[in-house]
Amino acid sequence: MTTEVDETVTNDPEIQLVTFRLKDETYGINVMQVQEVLRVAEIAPVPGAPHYVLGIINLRGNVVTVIDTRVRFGLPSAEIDDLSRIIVIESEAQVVGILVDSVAEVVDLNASEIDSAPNVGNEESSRYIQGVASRDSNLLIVVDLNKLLSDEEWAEMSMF
Amino acid sequence: MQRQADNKTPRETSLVESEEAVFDLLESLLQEVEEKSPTSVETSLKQEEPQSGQKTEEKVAADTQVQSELQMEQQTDNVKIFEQLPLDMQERLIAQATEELKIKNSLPAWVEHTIPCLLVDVEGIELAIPLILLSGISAWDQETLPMPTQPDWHLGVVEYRGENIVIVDTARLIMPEKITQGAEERRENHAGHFLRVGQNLALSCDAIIETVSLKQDEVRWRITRKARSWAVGILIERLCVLLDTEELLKEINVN
Repeated sequence: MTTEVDETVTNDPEIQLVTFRLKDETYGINVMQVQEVLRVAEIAPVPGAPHYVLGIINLRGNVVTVIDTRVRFGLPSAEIDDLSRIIVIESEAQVVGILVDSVAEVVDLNASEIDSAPNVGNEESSRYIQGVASRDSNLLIVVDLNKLLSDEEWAEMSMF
Repeated sequence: MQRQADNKTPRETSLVESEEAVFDLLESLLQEVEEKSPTSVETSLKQEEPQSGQKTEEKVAADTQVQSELQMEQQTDNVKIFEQLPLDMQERLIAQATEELKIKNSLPAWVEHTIPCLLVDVEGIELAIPLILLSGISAWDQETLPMPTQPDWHLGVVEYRGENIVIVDTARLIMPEKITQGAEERRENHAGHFLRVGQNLALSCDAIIETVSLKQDEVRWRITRKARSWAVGILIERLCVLLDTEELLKEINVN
């Protein structure tokens, strides 16, 4: 009995995703990579930074680079409003913030519920997309944060 | 190094004392990298009795020996304390010491304990420039002579203290993504100040904000500076770039 349960967990692990909105879509990222969610305060621009870097913030004495997720995903930019949030994530041993339109909820999914969807989104964003899952008749796009930036770009993140 | 993660030997030393001892050890390890020679000890001994002039070499050697033994003894104690810390704390402290060493080795030569800086505004972005790298600051109200066939960062030549100085468009060099005006337009609509940085070069800025005195730990130093080598760090509190004008001049020369 115990073995069967273990096998189910191993073969189809449950994952928790933090979901957020960008334009008209809902995206999900692994909760284990999320450190905290912040309201948007002062973001200082950095001269010479790549176009997808919005700037830097002071997070309790640490300098954290903030990525404009819309720009990175090839979506049109939007004004920051009361619902906008910075999700502080850890990926590739770097701590960065990603600016999103709003944060929705935390959902539980089994890995088997995520379908690979190579053709979702435009070319720019498709490489970060791990797959899609159907939730309450809505589509949830699961993002692979580690692929959000290239190795070089991740290394650069720590040096702003 | 022997690690004793499960060592349960009761000790009276408090955690704070342990940490202090460990930091002493790490500090001494860091210093070992560049010191090792007894020169500094000799120097300090000499400074204590600058006028005696009669101390024999044997006496100096003996003092040095005593000093070294004391340091060794202290270091041995610190190693013992370090070895009794939990493994994860040992690893954290080693990682911290390694990081500090990397930062120390990457600092520009002009960095001292305190770094007096001038804060300026360039295209709405605040920049900190070490005062030690500046040889003059002036309001830019002189007649500016535009020069033909110059790169777009060349804003013209002004006379400053009897010399001809080329004004460099700082924004064009370090934040071209912010510039929407053409070179000619920027030459005509200039304002603000210029900061003399080289033999005959000065950086343009829109306004002088203030001067600040920074401590080393108030800056998040960039250890590797392959890209944007002129950005040596970020002022943590103000979130602005600390600009190394020497590196910027190198980029100008390359261009």
